[in-house]
Order: sequence, then structure tokens, then C-alpha cells
Amino acid sequence: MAAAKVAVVGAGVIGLSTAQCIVEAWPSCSVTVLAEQFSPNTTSDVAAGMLIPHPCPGTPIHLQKQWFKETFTYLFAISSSAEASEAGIHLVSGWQVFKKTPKEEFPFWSDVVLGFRPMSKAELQKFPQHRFGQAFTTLKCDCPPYLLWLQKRLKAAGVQLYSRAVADLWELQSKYDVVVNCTGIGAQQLLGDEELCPVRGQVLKVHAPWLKNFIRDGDGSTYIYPGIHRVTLGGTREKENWSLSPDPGTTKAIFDRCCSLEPSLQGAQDMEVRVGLRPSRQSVRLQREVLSQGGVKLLVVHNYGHGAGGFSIHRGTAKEAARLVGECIAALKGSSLRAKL
Amino acid sequence: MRVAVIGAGVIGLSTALCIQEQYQGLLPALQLEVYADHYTPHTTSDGAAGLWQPYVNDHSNLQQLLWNKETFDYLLGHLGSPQAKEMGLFLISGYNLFTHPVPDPSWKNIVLGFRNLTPKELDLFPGYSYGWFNTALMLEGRSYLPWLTNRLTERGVKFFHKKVESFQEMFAQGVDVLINCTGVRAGELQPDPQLQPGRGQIIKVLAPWVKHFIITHSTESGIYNSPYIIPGSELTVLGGINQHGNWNEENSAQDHRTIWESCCRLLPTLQEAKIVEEWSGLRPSRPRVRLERESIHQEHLQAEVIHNYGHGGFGITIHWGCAMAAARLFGSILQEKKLASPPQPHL
Repeated sequence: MAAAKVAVVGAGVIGLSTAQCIVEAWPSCSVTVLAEQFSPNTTSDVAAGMLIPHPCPGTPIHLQKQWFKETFTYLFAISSSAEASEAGIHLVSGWQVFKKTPKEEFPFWSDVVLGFRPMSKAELQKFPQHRFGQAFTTLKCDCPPYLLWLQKRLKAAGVQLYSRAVADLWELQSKYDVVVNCTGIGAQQLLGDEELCPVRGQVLKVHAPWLKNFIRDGDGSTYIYPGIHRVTLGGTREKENWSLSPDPGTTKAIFDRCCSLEPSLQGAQDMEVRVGLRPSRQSVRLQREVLSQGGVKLLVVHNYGHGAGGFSIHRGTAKEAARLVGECIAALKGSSLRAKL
Repeated sequence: MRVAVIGAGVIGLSTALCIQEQYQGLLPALQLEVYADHYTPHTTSDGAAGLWQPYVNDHSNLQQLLWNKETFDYLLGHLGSPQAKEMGLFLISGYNLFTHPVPDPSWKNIVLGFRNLTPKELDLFPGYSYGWFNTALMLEGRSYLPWLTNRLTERGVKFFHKKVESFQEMFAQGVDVLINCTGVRAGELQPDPQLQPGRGQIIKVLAPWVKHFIITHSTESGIYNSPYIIPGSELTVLGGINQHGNWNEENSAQDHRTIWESCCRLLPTLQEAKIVEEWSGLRPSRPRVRLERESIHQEHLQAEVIHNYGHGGFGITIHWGCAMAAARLFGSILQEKKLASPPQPHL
């Protein structure tokens, strides 16, 4: 059987990292990435790219932890290499502060990030409205750099990337053996997955280069994440809101909330407002599916629905998706052998 | 009463401000002047990265520890103010690295969140087996000195661009009190064999992905003779040179190589950083800061000098505590001259 032809649909962090894992695991495959949007126009480009897991109620904790750990370990190695700045990966330390002491003092990921510990009284003095906090060091994946770096590695490995809208997965059946669906929020229209819903996030990206530490309110509503060139201020979590247009009232509200956590932001300059739709689902859809139409089969691997936690678990889910692609290829080889008999 | 501050680095300007703030109200006749041959951005303070951190081995000098703490607390109090950005003041976290376990520093409870490094963190720094993490402050000279200058100008302090050749020349002009903040060249005004230059060289690079300071230590090489990386608000400072007794302010190609190679080994991604500037300066090194009064008997006058120099590589770290101490010495001078006593009621 000729080398399997795999199409990855979607070029956000999930699509590109999944393509990368497939190339690493199955070097004899031919991999093509097809997407309507590439960086800087993906949902991933709006996100700050902080490695802090988000609650994912439908996924067992041990799996969330495994995916987070795989992702953290992978990025940690890059962060101390010469490629770190090109890949946009850097360490950042900071604080997660709570107005009400959380039930869980040590979340499941506290031993994966670096130096996790409760904040001291002296540290909390900087946040008079908050009574409890956690200090730790984690990683940040700046976009576009991270996506551009992934694209560059994919091209070097012989992967073709095409800008193209896919309205129906069956369009790909004639040319590809396996289709990997990393369409994020696009899966809603593509598949009619009703479990998938957008959670709109608006963020401000400002120039405030003196900010070296992240600050996050434990309720998830407000955060300040210093990136390489800009600081991401957020945010909102608006369920079922599909609007990609920035809302000025929201901009002011975000800015005010962030300034009350970090007064020096008043001096921030060059504000850029962006909106992304988190592809939210009870759990990530990470599974194989065999579609059938008129006697023809289409092997699909789904990898979408990462909600607010895409960056935190991307490498872990990409590896799992690559493993599932391997199962598909094995199934194809099996059926092609049977066909020969 | 004419008071002249000699020197316009962080020590001179902050001492001037401290005295101004505390005594102008009490003494309307106070006339404060600053004399210096170099102003920002050409002072030693302008070259410093601006990280608040005392030496790790400060020989249990309690007085200096208190001045360091006073400075940290003073700056911490200004963090939330609208002035912070203009002052060049911000929080920064980072790493101190050692090749073997060392005792905790005397300043561990002054900084925020001081702790030892975990094994995973040490994996980031091959060759180092022990270290600390803490959050401290940055106070960038290139912003702080102009800020101090503006505050002083607002309050009517006059500045003179002039090299003072002797204390005598100032007293002959009618200056009543001299504040000697001349840093490394204090010996030109009054010989001080304890004061020696600690020559430093730094490379400033564009590396905005670096968010932590990283300071390595080597007992063999001595303080600041081991690579360090300190991210500022715009550029990142690479350093690791401290040559005792070297007065040369020219950049050395060999020192450049030493800094560049050792810092790139410490943080490989620095290889991608663009070099923007290079600078050499002389730390005013002394076993202890000289902060004391000296009465100089001149003809029928008794002239007063307050010395405030010799802050080595920790001038920014200790400046406010010293400025306050110098201001107290000034207050005692006023008391003796009966200028600061409260008004007497008429009987």
C-alpha cells in the first residue's frame, strides 16, 4: 500500500501541533494541512497562550493532568533551547489571586508548573481586595510566533499547507485516506455538533514592557499576561455569543478591572482589541469516527472542543490524535490486505 | 543657608530630594544646589541595570541592611502610584544561582516570596546545583534620575554643570554645608585609599522574551564577576565583570566576549538577541559606605561636609536609606547651628 495520505483540517494550535505529532509518529505518511484561516487570523492568535489548565468537567482529571504535563514538558525543553525566542515560548512567573479562598489549595496541575506555593502575606499586600493567592512559574506560547514556528517545522518536514475552506469533510475523501478534524469552533458548522458552543472572549493587547509578572484573578474573569511584545489583558466569557466585533463598553470594563489589579497599566500604550470564540465543549472530542456514504468510508479523527484550555493541553491531545491516526492507518492496511486476497 | 550637593548620580539627587522634602518647610532660607560634571544619562547610575539586590555576602553589616530595607519598602510603597512608570519602577522576579548550597541572604525577608529553587527549576541551569527565587524591584537609572531631577527642579533646586575641584572652593563661594556624593572619584576631593573602582562592563540587548533576572555566583570569581542577565523595561542587560582597581572606562573586546559567551551559555536563546549598546562604568567600591559628617575648620568658619559615597554595586539598592540618614545628619547640623529649633514663645 502506498504511503497513507492524511489531511489535517484547521491551522490553529491544535491543527498544527496535531500535524506535527503525525509527522513525528508516522514519518512515511504524507500530511497536508488545509485551513480557511492561518495565523494571525486563528482563534489561537487571540489567546495569550498561557499554560494554566482550565476546568474541563467532562474529561477525567488524570487525563487532563497527563495532557498538561506532556505539553508542559515539551515546551519546557524548547524554552531553554536556542529556538525559544523564535518559537515564542518563554517562562513567566506571577500570581493567581482569590477574593474567596478556593476549596482546592493545590490544583491538579500544581506539581507540573514550577515553584508552586501559596503567596506570602507580604505578596498579598499588593492585592488588597484579595485574601488568598498562589505564586508559580509557568510557560507562555506567544502567537503568532508559536504558530509560525510550527508552520516552518511542518514545511521543513515536507508538509503542504493550503488556504482553503472545507464545507464538508467528504470533499476530502477522494484525495485523502484519513482526515483529522481540528476545526475548533468551525466544527459546529462542519458537523452540526450541538455540544460545541462558542464562549466569546475579548482581550486587549497593550504595550507595557515593564510588566514582567502575570496576574490572574482566580475567578477567571480578569487576567494580565505579559507576552514578548505585548501584554494581554482580559477578559470575558460570553456563552453562545458569536460576535467577533470588539465591544467598546467591554474594552473599558476589562481595562478598568486590570488597572485595579495592576495600577501601572494606566500608562499602557497602543491598545489593540481582539475577539476569539473559545470552542467549548463538556469534554474535548478526541476520537476516531468512520463515516459512511453510499458504500464509501471516510476515516476521521476528531480533535476539537478544547474551550479555554487549548494551549495548556495541545501537545497531549495532538499526540493522542496522532496515535488514533496510526490506528486508522493500521485499519486501512488491514482492509487493503484483505482486499488483495 | 546654602547647601551644595556634589554629584548627580542616584546618591546625589536622592539625598538632595530627601533634604529638600524634610527641611525646606522648616527652613525657608534653605537654598539647595547641585553641582556635577556628569548628569543623566552619563552617570554611573545610568549604566546600572537597576535591580534592587544587596550583595549576597554582606558581612552582616546591620546598618547597611537597614538602609537596604528602608529603600525597598520606600520603593514598594510607590509601586501602585501613578509615578511608578515615570520613575522606572516595577516588580521583577528571578533566580540567583550557585554551584553549591549557601546560607540564605540577610535580605531574604525584605524581598517578596523568597524560596529555594526546586530540582526542576535547576534543570534550566546546567552547572548550577543550588539557588533562590524571589520577587524584587527594578529602578531604572535612565528613568529615575530624570524623575528625581524633575522633582528637584519643581522645588526650586538649582543645577550647575561644573567639576568641583575642592571643598575649599565651595566654602569660599559661601556654601554652608556640602553633601559629598561624588561616587568613585571622591578621592579627588579628599584622598580615600579604601575607595576603589570596581570596573564593570555590560552589553544591552533586545530580548523581550526574557522576563526574569538570572544572577550567577561564583565564590572564586567574586561578586558580579559571574554572568548575570537582567531584563529592563526595554533592553536586557548582560553583565558579569567586576575588576577591582581598574579605572579604564573604555569597553574591552575581551570582556565583551566573556560576557557574551557566558550569558549565552546560561540562556541559549540569547544568541538570537540583537546587541544594541555596550557600556563600561566604575562601581564606587568600598568595604563600607562612607556616610558621616566631617567638620572642616576654615579660618574663622566651621564648615560642614556630609559624606555619602562608596556604594559599590548596590547604590540603587541602598540609596533611599542613605539619603534619609544623610538628611538626619543635616538635621543635626541645623540643630547645632540653632536653625531648626522650634520658635520660642515671647515671655
